[in-house]
Amino acid sequence: MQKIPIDLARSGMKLARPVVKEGGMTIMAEGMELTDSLIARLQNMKIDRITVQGHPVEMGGAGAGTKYAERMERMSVLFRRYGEDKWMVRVRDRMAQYFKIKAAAQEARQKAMESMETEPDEHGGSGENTMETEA
Amino acid sequence: MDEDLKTIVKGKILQVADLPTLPTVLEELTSLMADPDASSEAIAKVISRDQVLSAKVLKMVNSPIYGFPGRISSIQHALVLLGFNVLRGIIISTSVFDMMVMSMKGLWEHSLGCATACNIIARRAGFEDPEEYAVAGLLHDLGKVVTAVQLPDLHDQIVSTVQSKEMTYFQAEKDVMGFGHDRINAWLARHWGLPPNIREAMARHHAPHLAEFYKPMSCVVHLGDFLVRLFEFGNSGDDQTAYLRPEALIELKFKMSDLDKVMDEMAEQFIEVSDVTF
Ligand SMILES: [Fe+2]
Ligand SMILES: [Fe+2]
Repeated sequence: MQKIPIDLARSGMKLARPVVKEGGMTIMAEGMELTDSLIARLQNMKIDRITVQGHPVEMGGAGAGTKYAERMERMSVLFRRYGEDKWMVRVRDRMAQYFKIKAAAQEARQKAMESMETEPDEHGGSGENTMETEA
Repeated sequence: MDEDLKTIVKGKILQVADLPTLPTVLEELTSLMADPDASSEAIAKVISRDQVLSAKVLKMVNSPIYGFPGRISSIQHALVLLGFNVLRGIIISTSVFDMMVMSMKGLWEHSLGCATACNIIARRAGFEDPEEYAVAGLLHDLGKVVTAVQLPDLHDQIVSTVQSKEMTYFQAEKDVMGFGHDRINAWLARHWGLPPNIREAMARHHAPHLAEFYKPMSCVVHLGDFLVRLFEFGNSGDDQTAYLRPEALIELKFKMSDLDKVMDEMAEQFIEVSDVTF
């Protein structure tokens, strides 16, 4: 799950959270797949952020969009003071292992997303999509 | 360092309560707190009078940090669900952080992240009223903010010591002032009449094994601070991890696998929490 600015939304992404207007009205349900026309509609409605499934966008800076591979690499920096401390070394290695597993899962998901994008959309492609793509 | 410096620093720190930027509401609330007959209606009325503050408080209590996302519609409602202590903690932290401009935005995020982690940890440990743990997490580094506001010169010295001596912020504070924000937290908490459990957690989050009366809450905040640094969500003033006291895990009856679960939940919630800005 990743919260992204609407400018980075692309057709094929799926909503991980419903899109809700300020007053609380739901505009689009969770699980819905975005198309170019839906994205344009959201932009018109001044929705500036949406939450989509997976982690499709690489955004700079630390913070909310946790990139586990990066976390894993940071462990040796964060624990640099405690290289001699048995307990803290154990903690560090355990935490690095946690992020490693998460990073692997994240990478696998990303690969799956990418292969979905490059594959020609023959099975169950939405009509809307073919109508709007120019050759 | 010497007693004189400590007395001067303490005096200057506690003057923060007189700053005109702090809402007058806070003073009224502190005195209402002393009155055992004060009703929640009376308290809600005092808070609601300050519309800017009420809006901020409502935004905060509706974040996932306190466990009722998007479901609290009024101050009165928040008082019933979260209690007076939690609300007062939120008012203190938002007001104090408000005085800081952008330079300390990272510490605000660090505090929000810690509050989130504390709620998750407290629930996993099976403690009642996890929102009280969350607000203790929110307030845990308040002493750093107040030092920066009241004693900008000392603050600058601390920041440059972090760099030049490769120290953690906490060590640098002790290097410069002779004591850390844990001590300052204790002064502030007493000054604002915060309840003893939150006060001790604020004062003991770097040494939870020394907590006398409220060890569980001190351990929750200690672990929350450790984990939020691990994710580097926000910025606590240095780029090192804090020492994780094994006693804290023992106190909470946590195994390493419990930490995995807590971290999973933290990652999920950080996406939402990063939105709680002013
Ligand atoms: Fe701290
Ligand atoms: Fe901290």
